[in-house]
This record gives sequence, C-alpha cells and structure tokens, in this order.
Amino acid sequence: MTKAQRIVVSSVGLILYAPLIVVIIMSFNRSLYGTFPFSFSLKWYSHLLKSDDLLIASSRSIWLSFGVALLATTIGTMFAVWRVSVKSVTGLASDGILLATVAIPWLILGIAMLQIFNLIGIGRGIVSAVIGNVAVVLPYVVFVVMARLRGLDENLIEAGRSLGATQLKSFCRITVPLAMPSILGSALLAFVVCFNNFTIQYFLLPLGVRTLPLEIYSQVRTGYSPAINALATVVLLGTVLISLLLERLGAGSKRFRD
Amino acid sequence: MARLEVCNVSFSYGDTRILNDVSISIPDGDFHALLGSSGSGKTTLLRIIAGFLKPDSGTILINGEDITNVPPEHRDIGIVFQQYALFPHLTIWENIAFGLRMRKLSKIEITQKVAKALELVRLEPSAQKLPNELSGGQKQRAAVARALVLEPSLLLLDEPLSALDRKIRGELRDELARVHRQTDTTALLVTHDQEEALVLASEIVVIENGLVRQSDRAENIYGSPADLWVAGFVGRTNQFRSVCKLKNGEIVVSIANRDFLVSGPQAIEGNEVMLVVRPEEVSISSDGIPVRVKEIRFMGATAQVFLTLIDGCELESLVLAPVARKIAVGVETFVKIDSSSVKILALT
Repeated sequence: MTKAQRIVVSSVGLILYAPLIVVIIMSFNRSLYGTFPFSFSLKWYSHLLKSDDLLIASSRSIWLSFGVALLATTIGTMFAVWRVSVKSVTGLASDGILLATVAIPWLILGIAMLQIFNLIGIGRGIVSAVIGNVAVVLPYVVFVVMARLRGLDENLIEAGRSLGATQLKSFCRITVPLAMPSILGSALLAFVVCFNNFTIQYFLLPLGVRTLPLEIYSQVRTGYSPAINALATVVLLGTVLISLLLERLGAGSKRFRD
Repeated sequence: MARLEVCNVSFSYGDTRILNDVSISIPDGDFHALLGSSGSGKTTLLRIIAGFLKPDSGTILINGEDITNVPPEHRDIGIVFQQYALFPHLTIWENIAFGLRMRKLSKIEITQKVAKALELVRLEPSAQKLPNELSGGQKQRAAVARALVLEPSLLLLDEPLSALDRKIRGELRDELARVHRQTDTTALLVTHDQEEALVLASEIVVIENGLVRQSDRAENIYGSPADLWVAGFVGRTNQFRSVCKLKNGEIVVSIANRDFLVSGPQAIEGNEVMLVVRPEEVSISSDGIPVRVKEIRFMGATAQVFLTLIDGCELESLVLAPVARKIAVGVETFVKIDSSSVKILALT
C-alpha cells in the first residue's frame, strides 16, 4: 500500500467508525448530556435493563426483522432461481419492478402501501408491516442471490445430472450449497435493512405498537437518554457476533471459495 | 459397455442450422473422436448425446435402445468437462461418491468403488482435498474418476485436455489412453486438437458446419483425407493444381514439370484436380526437383523447411533437425516426392 492509499483507507475507516466509537464510549460515560470528562459507569446499561419500553421495542424489532428476513430470503431465493433461467422480456421487466422498490423513496412507498392496505380493508397491522417490509427488502435478496447463481458454472448442474441427480436433486445438492453463503448473506442484509426501516414501520404498524426505530424516535422527541447509547452498543455487539457466527458456520469457509 | 448410434440428427438454433443430418456409430468398447473447429457443431452433438439438448430430428441409440427422450440422469452416460466441473464444496472423495450416492448404494459399496476409482487415476493421496487444492491435471483425473466410477455405458469427453498446459496435456492424454484400455468403456472424445484425436481415438469423425466430412480410421483421416477441407484441417499440406493427362496409357499429373502416376476416382483424363502432398513426404535429396531454400524453422527434433520451386510455387518440407542443419537459407538443392504420396482430390 502506498502512503496515499493508506491515508485514504484510514480516513474512510475513521469516517465510518468514529460515530460508532463515540456511541460506545458515551454508553459507558456517566454524564447525562454526553459531556467530558469521561467517568466510567454502567448506569445506562442498568437503565436499559429497567426500561421496558426499549426492551419490548427491541424484541419486537428482532422478531419482525427475523420473520421478514426469513420470508424475504425464501421468496427472494425462489425468485432469483426463476430469474436466472429466464432470458425474455419478462425477466427484464421483473428486474425493473424490483429496482423500482429500491429507487423509490421509502416515504412514498410507505404512504402508497398504507393507502392500498386501507383500500383493501387490512389497514395498519402486523400483517401489513410484514408484507411492506418484505416488499422493501426483497430486491436486496434477489440481486445478491442472483449474482451468485449467475456466477455458478452451468456445467456443475450438468455434471450432477449426468451422475444421476434429477433436476430437483441437483438443485438441492449442488446449487443450494454453493449459493448458501450468498443466501445467508442476503438474509442478514434483509434482517438489517428491516431492523433499520423506520419509514415503512412508521406507516404500517398499528398505532401504539412501536419497534425499536419508532421507540427511539419517540424518546428522542421527548428527551434523549444515554440508555439509547447502551442499547446501540448491545445491538452493535449482536451484529458483530452474528457476522462472526456466519463466518464460522460456513459462509467464509474455504469450501465456498472458488 | 455399450454401442452408441447417432442416427440422422439435425439441430437448429433459431434459423441457424447447427447439425445437419449427422450420423455416427461407435462399436462397444471403442474410443472415437469427434474432431472439428469451434462452431462446427461438435459440442452441440455432445450435448444432444448427453441429453441436455433435444435434436429437431433423428435418434440416439445406446445398445439399440432409443434414448432420445430419456432425461440425462437416466442415460447412464459419464461426462468429463473441459473446465473439470468438480463440485467445489465437496472433497475429491465426495465428488467421486456423488453419483454412487444418487444411486443409493450401500456405504460399503461406495467406499470400495471410490477407493478403486481413486486408484485407477492415482489420486489416493488427494481423496480428502477440495478441488481447488488440486492442480489442473489432478482435477481432470478426479473428474475422469467421478465419471467412470458409475461404470457408464458411454463416456463423453468434452475437450478434456484443452484447459491444461502442454506437458500435463501429454501426460493426461497417455493416462486417458491407459484408463480406456483398463476399463474398456465406449468413449467419445470431442476435440479441436487433431493430435489428441489421432493419438487417442481409433476412429475419427471430422465435422464442419454441422456436416460430417469424413468418418474413418484415425490413420486414414490423415493419410487419405476425403476432401481438400479435411486434408487442410488435419495436418499441414502442400497443394498444387493440375490437370490429369494420359501418358503411355496411364494417368499422370505434374508438379514442377515432373509427372507423377496417380490413380483413384479423380484420375480421369482432362480432369482438373488438386494434388496434396504432406510436408514429411517431401525429402531433401541430392537429386530430383530443383528448389531454393527460403526459410528454415527449427522445432526441436524436427524442422520445417520452406522451399521455392523453379516455377515460383512454394513447397514445405518437414525433416529431422540434423538434415535441416546441413542446408542454409538461399542454398539451391533438390527434393524428392514419391508418386504414392501424391493424393489427388477434387477441386472445391
């Protein structure tokens, strides 16, 4: 690495990670207003444990994101499998529709979805929120998995067929294991995108049912508590753990590196 | 072990005719080669035999049984691909066991058969390695073992040596020949490499633009090409245009004002023909046809000598390197061509 490259890389790293480091430090700082001098304390963590609102909202967010990720990964993977086998205009059109969900601001999508759900009589609700969030994260799953499927050597499937595996068996024994790292990766991505998605949840969840982004929003309006820093630190730790776990489970195993 | 027959197979992709009424037949246990340049339709034919493509018309028979509509997994055909196509997420052992597991064989049987297959291709030490830990040659040997462990009635080899470098290619070629001798599997090699086809196959089918140009024993493809195209495609040639003349009751043609006695279906008085002489049939000599040496290209054991005839025509000779060292560029010398080495073919 040249000196210039090193400077660029470290400044990018700094910009990306400095806010996170500040949040982690502040979660251990006694001051209510995030001021120095730093004095170590775990009081915000104990506040967090006592704050039912934050804990309930966190568990709602986790369950919602988990469900959405599971659904979106299943539907999205099936969609990607279909998409790579289609070369007609239908395929291109479906790409367009999926890209539109990424390109159109979530604000507009959220309002539009709410109107539709009201129109067909479902209105706000858990079901609406799940459907809305799945629709928003679906393109991420489809494009990630599709990229991997496109990169797979077609001869592998043909080799499998010639060795006596039916179409379904070669899919299960060859395609799925080889695409697994990207399927898991896309599930994680779907989870994170859904976990973060304030806008869609704001419009579609029943009034009064608050997931973590909505809870934090409502708390920040009335006054910021450093307990949120503590929560952020816990969430960060959880994310890092999940990533390490995925790496361990096989996504990074040498079996999947071509 | 089986007999393969491809009967009158045609295949089009859109408006483009890829295969045009192709028929080939491989007797039980024989090793044949399908030789053609890229775009000749040879890979399409392989994919039709394997069952990945359906022909527009024609049938594929194995042991007389029509398998044209049988899905690939029930055809009992082993395939070795150019890019190996080993499953990257499975070890070599698991790769070879894949087909046996699909057939639901018992664990003991699988273990025995895989061990035997590994031994056949001498890969026992690499059994627990993943494909990307192996060299190209080892990968292809593993792919051969994976295909042969099922004892298929037919083995298809799709340019199996093209991805390897020259030295390994030679080794693996010999290895394939040995494995074929040991297993006696009916095999079809698809290749653009004439040397590979000539060395491995007992019979060669030359295919071009979806048409079978010649189907013959390997030595005849080179020695008696059916037409000018085959002559030019398989090996190097010297070509001369001439007219058949009647002389002393026999048909002769002339190269550089020398007469050569010829026979065959094209040897008709007045017929304008193309004469083909292989470079190794042109020997440098102390008398004969006068020539001037234009260029010498040493290629290790042999050398290509490019010569100019008196009439300005060019002639190529392939000689052993020591012979070429005795002459030099610009020198005038003589060459000899034996009448029996002059092949007479129709103009195209």
